[in-house]
Amino acid sequence: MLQCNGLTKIYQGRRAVDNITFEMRSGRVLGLVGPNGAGKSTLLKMVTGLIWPSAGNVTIDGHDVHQNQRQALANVGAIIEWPAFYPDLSARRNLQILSGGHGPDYEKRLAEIIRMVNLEGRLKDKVGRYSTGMKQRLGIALALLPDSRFIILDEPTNGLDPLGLLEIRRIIREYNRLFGTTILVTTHLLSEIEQVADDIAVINHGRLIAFGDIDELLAGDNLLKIVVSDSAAAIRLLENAGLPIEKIHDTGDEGLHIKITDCDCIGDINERLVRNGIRVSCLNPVRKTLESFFLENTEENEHAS
Amino acid sequence: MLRETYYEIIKIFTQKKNYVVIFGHLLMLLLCYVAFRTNNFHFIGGDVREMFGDITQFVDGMFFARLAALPTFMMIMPIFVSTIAGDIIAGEIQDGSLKLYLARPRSRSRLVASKMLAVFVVTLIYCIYFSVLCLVVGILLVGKPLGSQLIYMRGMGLGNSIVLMDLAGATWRYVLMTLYYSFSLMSLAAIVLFLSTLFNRMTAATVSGITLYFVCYIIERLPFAEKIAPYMLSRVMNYPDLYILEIPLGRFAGNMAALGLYVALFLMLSMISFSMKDIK
Repeated sequence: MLQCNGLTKIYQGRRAVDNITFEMRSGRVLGLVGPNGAGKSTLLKMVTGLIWPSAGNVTIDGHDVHQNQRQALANVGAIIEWPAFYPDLSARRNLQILSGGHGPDYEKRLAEIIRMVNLEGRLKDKVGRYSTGMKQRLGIALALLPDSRFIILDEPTNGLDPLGLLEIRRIIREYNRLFGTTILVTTHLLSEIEQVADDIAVINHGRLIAFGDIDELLAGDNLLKIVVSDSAAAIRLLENAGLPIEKIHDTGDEGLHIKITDCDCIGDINERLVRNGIRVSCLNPVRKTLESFFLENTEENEHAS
Repeated sequence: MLRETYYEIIKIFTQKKNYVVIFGHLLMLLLCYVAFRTNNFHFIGGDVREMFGDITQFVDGMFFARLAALPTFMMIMPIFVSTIAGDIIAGEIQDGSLKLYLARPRSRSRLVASKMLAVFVVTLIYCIYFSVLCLVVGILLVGKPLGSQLIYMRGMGLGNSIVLMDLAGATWRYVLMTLYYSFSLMSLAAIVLFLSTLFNRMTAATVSGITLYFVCYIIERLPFAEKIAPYMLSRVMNYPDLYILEIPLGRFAGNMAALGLYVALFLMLSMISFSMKDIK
């Protein structure tokens, strides 16, 4: 779907985006995260052809965005940064101008999308009278209107209250699930991304520092959490069990954290404990939060740079 | 392209700031009328008075309209055209709406062309409106047009034309003048449109355009600038010689060609510049 190859943008000697290469798979939701000024919006502007790369290229469905813009963006709907509509025009007129749509099919599609983003009955109002949340939802409607197969949403939750956040999250998930649309979304709210994205890309100082399936990236480093009836007995047993266990840490109320070197031994651990009369009430792989993953990676990147 | 142009025209007409010029023009008409009445026709030279006798026999609504139309086209309209042409790209970059628009598969050259066409249509509408308004105000406040029209252009920056012609001749020249200015203002619009593609702020593009026009306007009037005056943009825009008995067609065509060249050159530069521009 989307492929960035060595994408670089230099502003007055500063590398805003530095040699970014990744490929986004079809039908997935990719969350692009990074601190303010990391280069997220610059990257998205190159992806949508708004700015020219200093080096590298972007292709969408095999078409170079800067050489063959019409074909590359034919199935793309995008909102970059703030959805800046024409405040003196009605929402209907704004969508008509910005999407370029017209005719009966367009009207039918418009009605569907407007229902989806909960703006029914407000199309005749001037956008200048809309609240922040309504403008964001109208922005999403604009991105969805052309029946795109690839949607780019840059900070769609900016300035929204908790209800607005839930609403946007619902729309993204629903649209991706119903139509298999590929969605690239950026936000500084890591918990939001964690709930909607299938894949994540972490960007800092213009460099891509992590990219991949969110479950794989957030999987603990072979860390298990076990809650047992007798922690001391369990530690003694497992330390001498000859299993591929690297380290056992008693966290107290949180149970035991066991670092293993081979994931296949999880069943053996459970079996060994139960067979020795130790009741196991919880056995989970420990998953990192996106926040801890993000901090870990951006801090590493800070030290490296 | 026509649909895009239509949308651009809607955008221009829905911006309240573009109506300020109407109030400015009304104020100018009012001041023109007060000046016209209080001057008691002393601005008309003694030689003309001697030649035509009682000068008031030629003063009518159309006489006033001709006098009021000149500052309209030479001062107010260049400022207005610079404002809309400066805003039409740089203003949208500044507001961020161009990012929404161009994140779709669209030709930037086509967008520039449709914006230029929209500026032309709006300028034409405003020129016709102001022309008609000058005439209506003239008829209401000064009187109905008379059969013989005294064309007095001395001191207006348009040569020394003092001509007596019939009403029909004066009327169609008034119409021709309106159309000529609608087109001549396009050369300024094309230059400001080009500036609008260079800057990310509407004020920078507009002020640069207005400055350029008035610098040319001032320079061409300096007594020692007579050699370069014919090449100044304001001279090409404002010197149609439409009110002399025999319109010099060669010179008129030359003016139109020069204006067309300005429009084509700066429209092309705008397209190139905008196609290469980063929309930040």
